[in-house]
Amino acid sequence: MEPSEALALALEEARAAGAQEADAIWEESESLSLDAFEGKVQNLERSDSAGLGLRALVDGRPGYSFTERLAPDAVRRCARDAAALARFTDPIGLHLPDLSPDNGAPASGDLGLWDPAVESFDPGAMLECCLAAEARAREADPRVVNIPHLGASRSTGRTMLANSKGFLGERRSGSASFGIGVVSRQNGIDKMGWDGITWRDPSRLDPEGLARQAVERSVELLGAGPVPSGPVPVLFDERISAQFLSIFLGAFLADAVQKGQSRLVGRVGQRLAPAGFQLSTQPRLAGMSGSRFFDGEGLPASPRRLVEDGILRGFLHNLETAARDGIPPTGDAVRGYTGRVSAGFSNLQVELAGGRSREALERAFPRVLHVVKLEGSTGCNPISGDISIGVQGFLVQGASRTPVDRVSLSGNIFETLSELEGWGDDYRPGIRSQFVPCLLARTLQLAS
Amino acid sequence: MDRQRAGRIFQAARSVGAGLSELFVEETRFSSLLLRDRKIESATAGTEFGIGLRMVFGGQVLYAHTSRESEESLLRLVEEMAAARPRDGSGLDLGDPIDGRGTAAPDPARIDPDDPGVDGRLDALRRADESARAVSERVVQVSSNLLHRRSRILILNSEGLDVEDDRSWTRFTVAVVAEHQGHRQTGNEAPGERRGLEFLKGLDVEGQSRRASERAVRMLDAKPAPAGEMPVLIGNGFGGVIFHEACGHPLETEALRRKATPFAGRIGERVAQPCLTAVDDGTIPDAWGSLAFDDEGTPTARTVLIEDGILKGFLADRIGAAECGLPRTGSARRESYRYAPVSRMRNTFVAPGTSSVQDMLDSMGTGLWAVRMGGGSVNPATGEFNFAVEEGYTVKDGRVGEAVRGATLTGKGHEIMPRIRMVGNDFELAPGTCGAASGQIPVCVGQPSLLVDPILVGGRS
Repeated sequence: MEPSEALALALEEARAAGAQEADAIWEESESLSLDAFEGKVQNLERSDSAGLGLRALVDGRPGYSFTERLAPDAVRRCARDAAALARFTDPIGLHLPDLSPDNGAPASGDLGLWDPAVESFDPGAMLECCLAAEARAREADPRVVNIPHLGASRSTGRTMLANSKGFLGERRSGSASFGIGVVSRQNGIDKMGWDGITWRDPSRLDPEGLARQAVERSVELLGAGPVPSGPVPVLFDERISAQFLSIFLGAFLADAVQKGQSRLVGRVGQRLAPAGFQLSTQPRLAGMSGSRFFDGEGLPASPRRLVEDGILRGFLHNLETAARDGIPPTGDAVRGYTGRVSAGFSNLQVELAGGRSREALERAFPRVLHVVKLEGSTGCNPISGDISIGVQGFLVQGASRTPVDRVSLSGNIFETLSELEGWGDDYRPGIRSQFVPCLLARTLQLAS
Repeated sequence: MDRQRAGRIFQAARSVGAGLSELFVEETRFSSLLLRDRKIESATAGTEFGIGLRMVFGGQVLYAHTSRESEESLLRLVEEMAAARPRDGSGLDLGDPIDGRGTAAPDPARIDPDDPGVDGRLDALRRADESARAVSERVVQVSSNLLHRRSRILILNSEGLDVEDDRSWTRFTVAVVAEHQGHRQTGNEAPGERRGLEFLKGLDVEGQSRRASERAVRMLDAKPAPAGEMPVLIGNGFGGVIFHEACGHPLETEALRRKATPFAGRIGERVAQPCLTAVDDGTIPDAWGSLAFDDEGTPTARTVLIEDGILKGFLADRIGAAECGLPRTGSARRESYRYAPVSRMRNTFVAPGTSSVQDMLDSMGTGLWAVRMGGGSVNPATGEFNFAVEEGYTVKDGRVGEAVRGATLTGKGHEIMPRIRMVGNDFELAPGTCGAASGQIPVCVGQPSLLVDPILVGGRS
């Protein structure tokens, strides 16, 4: 079945099974990836998948189901399942929006998510990237002993969303990626360095540049050791600042706030970070991973600051949480075909205005721990904001940079944000959904 | 999948030069019910369906998957993959064909959520909620969840392998949030078995729920954990996650074939104290990580990894075994038809020793008792790991002191092994989900309590 037929059938069958309203999502993707090791292809994978997810509302109760079997019988069963499961759940008083073209439909246009060049990225071109990068990495430094991760890929996808009130939206995207992980050895100690990137156009990948960067990141940490415990200012490099911040981003979900699982309950209008700090969701950035005109429920997605000039202004909502708070929907719904509707940042952005160069941030204190690697986040508590995490990086004291490992940092993210000393003035290149410059925390507790 | 159609696909693969080709056909039904704050917050069900086609050219693996089952679309995949193949394959000998005949598949689920009229799920979720709340007035939120998954799979290959399996998994999870003076702590339990919903009948739902609740309440009064190098007594059961991450992954041939393991070339060498034996066992009845045969059709096995401190073996799939010159262990696993199988763990554990918890506390002097571990991560290429302690206590001169929170354990797997000084007698297995190259798969971790001396603890005080 064609996707639009399958969506229409699912909505029609949901109604026949007793649902007053329903919405359905279709996702399909194709990808090709190649891994090489020591000059040879190790794996070549091609994937071709599609699935349909349905939400049926029976007397305001939601039931969800999905299917990867896309014959009419399987879609009918999926609709019956969703309607039957809806009867288990409690009513949430949810009604789907009217998004017909003359009544609140999202804008449409070109967000730059597709470049036809991606289709030319075939296995031959991928292998060429891998071999060039591998050769460059091996000649870059005699301490390189292994290149266990070396691969290129491309993927294309299409998402369609329909609801029982006549909405039908569609978006397509395509991208190419390359990544390399290099292990260097000195005095029997191994260190891994990694770099990777995604672009819409594969000719921008620059595998040799990424290889040099991965080697640099691996050798720069050779000879690392612990430094004495105590409080220390910490600069989170832009390689890991988004990863660090994202551990705690759940605090901005309205659902978490409403369930008391966010430290930001009751703090709208209060100061969260220093003046000048802006944190926003940016669904209209050209060509980025999270860019979209409509959200997971078909509502228009538009840019919004959640933290403005350091003050908390609001949370990320879907229809259900907005209705519960009695506010107009904000268009932050996120949905895949196998799961429930949730909410999220379309593209997370910490804005650069007021930022300083990394060098300037390193000199902001006589002694700064410049962190370039995080080791797991499971010691961090996303609800309380408590941080306990292993890190690697450099102790920067004026002109001297000493590599550091086997240390951990502790503190609290909300205290760290409120006392943030500064942020950087640029982002890493590439297609991503998170844009966070480096962040300088005034004090965290270092243990070794 | 019609065998004749499969035969024509294998013929096409052979004609383009594939030494081995394989079809993995899967249909999986999922269901999940989530009760939060006494309300059913979500009820979901779904069907995954797809076919994985693997073609092996020497040491080169070509893998494709699709949800379209027509012969035409599968033949097109063979052609597209063959055309895409870079011509640099080695002449790897894959060894003898897999003998899947006579492999008895385990009993399929006796109770399935798709069967009409047999559903004790709501009742179990409500009982969990009530028993967690009964523990303390400080309990402010309870979520309980029941997940069920049933996969029917068929594996056929060009050498005549033909095996079918019907695998069910059921898991109950409870998460409790306790609050006091604005401070919150969570407690979780998540038992699961490789069975249908009959698993619920033997499960002490109230006991599991109470345990999670009591832990959340206890940890409300916890102080910041101490920091620095010290002896640590790592609790039984889920504590085995450290061995899993720091030693289990480096003992998979998937790491060895990329030379990304500190254990390369060390079979027969001492890698731990003589008190330590570690095993990966796919044959334990009903255990979360057990299999009748692996995802390329090899009967599963019990594999000794470390015996009395000596490295004995690796976990090998067919390609890993051939490339690394090791025996196959029935360890090829994949999350679903979307992934090519690679060597993975099943139920991995440190075997029980003889020491009691008290003996180990007495012997450790001053340190940390990490009663229950949280999750963690490891870089298999360097062995560097980092794990959170979910429930911990200080120990002073063998006496258990106050509860502490926010501790993490860090180090390198192969360096920690020789520092395991004592092995307890309180062995337990715990189910979990392991993520790696071939996706998220159900595994058990396990161990008795272990005394490691010393290990780096990160904390706040």
